[in-house]
Amino acid sequence: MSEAAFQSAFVRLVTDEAFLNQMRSEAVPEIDGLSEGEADGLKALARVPGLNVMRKLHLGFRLNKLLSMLPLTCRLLGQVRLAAEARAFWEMRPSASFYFLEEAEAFAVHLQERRNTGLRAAYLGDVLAYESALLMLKRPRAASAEAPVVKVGFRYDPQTLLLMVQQGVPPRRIPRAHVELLGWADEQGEVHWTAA
Amino acid sequence: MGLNYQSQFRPFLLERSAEFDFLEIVPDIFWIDQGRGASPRYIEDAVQLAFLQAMRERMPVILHSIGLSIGSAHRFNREHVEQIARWQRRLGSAWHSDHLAYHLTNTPLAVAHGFGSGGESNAGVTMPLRRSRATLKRLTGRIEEVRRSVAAPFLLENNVYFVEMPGDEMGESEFLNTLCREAGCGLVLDLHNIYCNSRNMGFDAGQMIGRIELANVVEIHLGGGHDDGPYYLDSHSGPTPEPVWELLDHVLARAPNVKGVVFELFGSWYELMGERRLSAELTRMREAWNRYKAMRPREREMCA
Repeated sequence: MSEAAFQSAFVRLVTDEAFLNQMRSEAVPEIDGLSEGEADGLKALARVPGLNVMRKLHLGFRLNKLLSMLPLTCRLLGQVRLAAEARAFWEMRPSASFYFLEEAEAFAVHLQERRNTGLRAAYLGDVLAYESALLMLKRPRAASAEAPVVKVGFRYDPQTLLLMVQQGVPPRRIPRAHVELLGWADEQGEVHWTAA
Repeated sequence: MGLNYQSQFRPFLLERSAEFDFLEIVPDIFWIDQGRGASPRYIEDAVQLAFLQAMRERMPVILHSIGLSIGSAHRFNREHVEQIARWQRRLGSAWHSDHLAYHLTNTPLAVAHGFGSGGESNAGVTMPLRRSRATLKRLTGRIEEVRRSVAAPFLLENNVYFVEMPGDEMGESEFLNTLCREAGCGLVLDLHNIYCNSRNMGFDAGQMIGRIELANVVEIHLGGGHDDGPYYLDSHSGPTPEPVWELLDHVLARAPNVKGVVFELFGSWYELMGERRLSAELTRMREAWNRYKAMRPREREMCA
């Protein structure tokens, strides 16, 4: 029996819904490195109610990363689309680190790709570009590193749009505008914007 | 008396620093780990570091890491130990700690896509370890290595758990006692974790603590949680529950080597808890601490 194999399988029970469902089914998949007894132990774990709590904590932790780092994007998507997109993203990408920033950056890329493959949400392009720029500006940098300056192009009036999303008001009839903003972070990490 | 660092309550930390004696930080949030083989491996956040240095001028800073994953069977994260050693030297942390758990593993999807640090996945929750001789053996060697590498006492925090592990060979108290005895580490005794476990797993927290060798306890954690259906979660979401205060008195009266008590609050709950209640929590901690300090040795013996 390999402890590494056991730990890996236990983590998959918590993080991998398809694997969990397999382990809850009658036909337990064969897992390299585990004895029959170990597999039975895992199968029993899969049915313990406490495992659902662990799974909920894991999902909550991942969702919290997105909600806290991409709040406007998440709000704009709404619960149903956010849940669907997050689920699709998580199925493709296991949780790789504790860091919020990495996960949020990867989710922003996922959404950008999904915009090209069928995801429809009005104003998402502008809001996503804005928050992606913020992520870039929030990325930790050494004292010696030059502070990045990021340019974001908006197709709609950014002030009206971002304020409405921030206030939880579904944005409608936002005036079209061709606006480019430059963003940078000061020494205290505060982000500033100015017209490009 | 210590308080954990969360960016959401920076103003409290700066303006009310007279109300606590040390700041406990999760050092991992002050850097980005770019993964094995990356250069530089760790990018440290200059903005956050400047805040930390300002706090360091006011009070001691203690390291309480989340990244070691000391129980991971597939590998030992030595790079993390080296980084902690650097930070211990930088901040002069009088002791340092991590969690008695694991969160890093190799899962097929992570390996296939090369995610994480060399194809690792991160569970994002502290996974319980099997309480076995084999686990003790694995941990002992690693703890000895940490103790050689970092010039300060090393503590491990008892975990919160929601399932009993198949293959457990001993109870939690025996496991903690044996680990400290054989590996020479100390304990962060998280009383709220024990309270959580007692409620979720159905045991008496006081009796469980009664079986722990309290001389190993160097730091105590307090915190709050919330109910979630039939379970009680260690969410660090508010004030310490009354039964945990009772456990604190019990432990302070019997643990001769405790150096600090820390209240843990997650930043996202700060607004809900508010300054006033956070302050009250720290005051109550200090009152308990002073009761313990004021006790004469004879009285302490009587309690034991």
